[in-house]
Amino acid sequence: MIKLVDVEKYYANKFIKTWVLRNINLTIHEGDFVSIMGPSGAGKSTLLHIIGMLDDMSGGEYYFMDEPVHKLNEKKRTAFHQQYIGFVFQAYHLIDELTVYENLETPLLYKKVKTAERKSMIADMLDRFNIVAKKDLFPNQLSGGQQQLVAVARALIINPKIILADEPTGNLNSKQGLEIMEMLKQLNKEGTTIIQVTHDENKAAFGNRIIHLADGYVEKEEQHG
Amino acid sequence: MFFSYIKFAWRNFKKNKVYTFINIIGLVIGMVCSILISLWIADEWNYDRFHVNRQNIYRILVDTESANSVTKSSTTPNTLGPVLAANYNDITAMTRYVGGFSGWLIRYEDKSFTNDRWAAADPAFFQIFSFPFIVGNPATALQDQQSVVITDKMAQKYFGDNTALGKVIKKDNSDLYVTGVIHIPENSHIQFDYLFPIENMRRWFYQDLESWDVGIFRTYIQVRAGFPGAEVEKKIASIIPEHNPQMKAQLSLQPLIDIHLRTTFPDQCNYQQGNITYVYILSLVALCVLLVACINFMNLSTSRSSIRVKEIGVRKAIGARRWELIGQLLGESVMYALISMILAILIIKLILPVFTTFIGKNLEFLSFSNFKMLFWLTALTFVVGIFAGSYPAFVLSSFTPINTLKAGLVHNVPSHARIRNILVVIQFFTASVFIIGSLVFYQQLYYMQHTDKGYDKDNIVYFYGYGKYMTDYNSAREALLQNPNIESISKAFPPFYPGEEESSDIMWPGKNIDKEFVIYHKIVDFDYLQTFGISMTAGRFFNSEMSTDLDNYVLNETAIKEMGLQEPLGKTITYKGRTGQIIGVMKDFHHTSFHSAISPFIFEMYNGPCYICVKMKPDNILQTLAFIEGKWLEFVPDRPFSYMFFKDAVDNYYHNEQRSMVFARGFTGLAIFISCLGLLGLCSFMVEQRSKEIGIRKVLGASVPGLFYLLSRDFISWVVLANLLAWPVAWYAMHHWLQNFAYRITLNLWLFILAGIITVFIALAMIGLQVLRAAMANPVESLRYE
Repeated sequence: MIKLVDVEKYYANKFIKTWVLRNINLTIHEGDFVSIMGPSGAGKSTLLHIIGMLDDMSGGEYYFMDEPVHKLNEKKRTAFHQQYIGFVFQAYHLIDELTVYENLETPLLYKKVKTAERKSMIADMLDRFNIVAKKDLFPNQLSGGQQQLVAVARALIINPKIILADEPTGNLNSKQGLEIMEMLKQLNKEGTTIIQVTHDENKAAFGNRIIHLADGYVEKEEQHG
Repeated sequence: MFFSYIKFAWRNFKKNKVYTFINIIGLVIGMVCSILISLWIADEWNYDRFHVNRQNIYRILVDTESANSVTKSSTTPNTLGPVLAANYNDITAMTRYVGGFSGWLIRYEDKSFTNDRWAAADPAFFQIFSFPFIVGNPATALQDQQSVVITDKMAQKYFGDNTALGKVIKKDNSDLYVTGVIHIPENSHIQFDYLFPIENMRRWFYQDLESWDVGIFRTYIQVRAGFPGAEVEKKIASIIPEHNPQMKAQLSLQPLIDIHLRTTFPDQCNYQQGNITYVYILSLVALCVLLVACINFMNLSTSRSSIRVKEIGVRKAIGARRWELIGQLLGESVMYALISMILAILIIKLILPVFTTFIGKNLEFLSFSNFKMLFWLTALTFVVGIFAGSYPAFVLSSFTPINTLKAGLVHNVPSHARIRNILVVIQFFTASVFIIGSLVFYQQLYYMQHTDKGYDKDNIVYFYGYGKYMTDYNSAREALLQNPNIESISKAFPPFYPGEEESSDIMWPGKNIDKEFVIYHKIVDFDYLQTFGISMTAGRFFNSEMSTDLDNYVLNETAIKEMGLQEPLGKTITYKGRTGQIIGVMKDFHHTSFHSAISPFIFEMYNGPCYICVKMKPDNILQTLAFIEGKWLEFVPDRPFSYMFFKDAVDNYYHNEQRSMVFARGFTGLAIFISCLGLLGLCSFMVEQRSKEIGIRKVLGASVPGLFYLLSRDFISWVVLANLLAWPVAWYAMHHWLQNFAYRITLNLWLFILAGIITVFIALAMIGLQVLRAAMANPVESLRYE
């Protein structure tokens, strides 16, 4: 599903290149639950962002569902987003001015989903995450865990093939964190590919593959159950 | 989608009330100003454009060349019009016209009026001009010599709600039959209350309508549709010397629609002449105020980008395309513009009555039948919204999402500082040009109003001397002088400029007869000098003791200089065939506005009817006026008393300048205000952006004044730069404007420096508070994040 060939990323500052990622070769299959681990500055988030097409790479090849992403223009990439990729951020990143319901609705609006269909999709999602009662609240009226729940729901609502989660539990207490991880595990079982970035060994263990990054290189990869 | 945007924008507005308020206030002010100015400009621009044949109507101008000047005038020899119409096929119709003067006694039944303005014209007048007829037939209205066409206002005044058609009004002992009632729009350069056929001018004004020597009329022609006026002009240009070899004059054609704004000489049309320069200046002002308001909006919006970027980033991450974001942001600014427009319309509705009284014009604004105006207002809303929103929209939507989502750190946002600085420079550039402009304006106006004009204009009333003033002037004068509050009484014709007769019929020993010399003529009497406080430079003024003074002349200094007379006193000159001695030289006074240089003048005495000028003591003016009116009832029982203050007439020379001055002052203030709002927004952004730097510097031991200097240095240097750029532009513009005046101030450097100081001071005041707050804040606050 995802194939990275010799992907590299650097920031050029005058005459000095600062390398963030080097020689990344990685294949991720449909149904994988991949955890990316590594110390601060190892390039975890950057790798996730490149996979999510939120950031450009400096070199290498990236195939997403056999499409060469490195050759696509912005329009095409946005289309990929809309169709296949859901994001979950450490800081939730819900839109403060919109209610829970409207936050869930926004991706569908951008995807130009018809009103009736939109309504039923949102209703399903509210149901599934058990947040029907909260649908008219604004993000700042929710706890962190609830906000992240909404963020996951928002990522899922477009029915993505893959969810990219950047330290999804980083701002949550352990109980809330565990709930979110269970939720992701469940989604993975239902067929969604998941890639998460995490510091936490325990959280990483929810995945079936763990990729360790250090100084921009893939240091090692472990396979789990 | 659309509704979700509106909902979102609305919540955003409510959430950031102060920001929204500042933004909207700026736009509202910009809109109100530009709409008000546009209304004024549209009104000026539309002068005389209601005439159906406007494209084919021309007024004939006469350019008289003489030794001392080239004089342009719109009065033509009396018979010019008919001769032109008879000899040139391209001219399809012609009318002569004179009018706009009041003072004639008109009676209807037992009522009498003197303040209606009369006019006379040829029968084709209503064929050429399409003044709307309320009743009557334009084709025949002026056919009969005893017919009169009156305006709706006059009909209402004379006949009330009764039908006016066929009613008889009396001018002296002649009957005039009302053959039509018309409406004269306010923006017509032809203004009168009643109009009668020109033939009557023979008996009422002693005019020889076939004369090439005398001219009191304006001549309008209508040429064949689509026929170029320049062709006609070429054909008729030198027709005057053919018929009157004495007169060295060329004809030219002035398109009807140019008369109001592009007439460069004092037109003596008895209506408020316009000036295209002020239309241009104010258009520019309107545009600038709007531009400044838009820039303000841009500045505030982009400076808030640190708050918006997170949202934009999230939207991008969940699938928004760039153009959708641009659409959303532009939509928001259009919404701002729309709210501002609605507020602006309400405000204009409220202040329009004050505004119209102030500028002395009746402006119409937004009746719902006026689709054109609705269209323009809507267009303006969108243009402002899209223009003001464009820059923020493109900036915000261009951020790479990932840079915006890293824990919402402000310093990751591209600051676009350069563009915002340019915007600040533009704002202060405009403000500075405005300030300099209005300072120069004000100085020149002050100079014109307070420089000694060589005569006294205060506490003088004038009126036309009818009745006993005509038959026995001396005893009427004595009776008035009984009142101790009346200082002096004099005859004068005309009492003030314009109206002076100009003539080249003057001879003196040593005159170069190959060159024409034009001199202005004023009728005065003994007390003229005293009444108007004018002094002599040589010789003496007319004296009541000297009966021969009726034959003598007094000239002004300019006349003596231009005539080249070395020892003028006692010299014999011949003016209009009458020979007399020069007994005195009058000190020059500014007989007209400072726009024109002082002209040569000749003064003579005259025993006939004239304007009476009464100089009063400054105290008890009202009682004195009541006294004069009481005497009037005694002396002139058949006419109501109507008078004018001399000062009003003189001040009216500067009507355009005074009005523009108030405009300019108001809009300068507003431009500065809006610029301040912009600076406020920018400054708070900068402080927010640099709070970490400020914190670190404080920890390292920077003092508050040091920080203040550090933070305000950039802004102040931008403001100074804006000033430096503004100076040459303002200098050029104001230098150009001052060329309108024969007597003018010189542009002083200190004026420019003053403008600079004002703007820097304002900028410091605006940014000072915020910078101080930032500089004095506890550094721990800003550094806690790291």
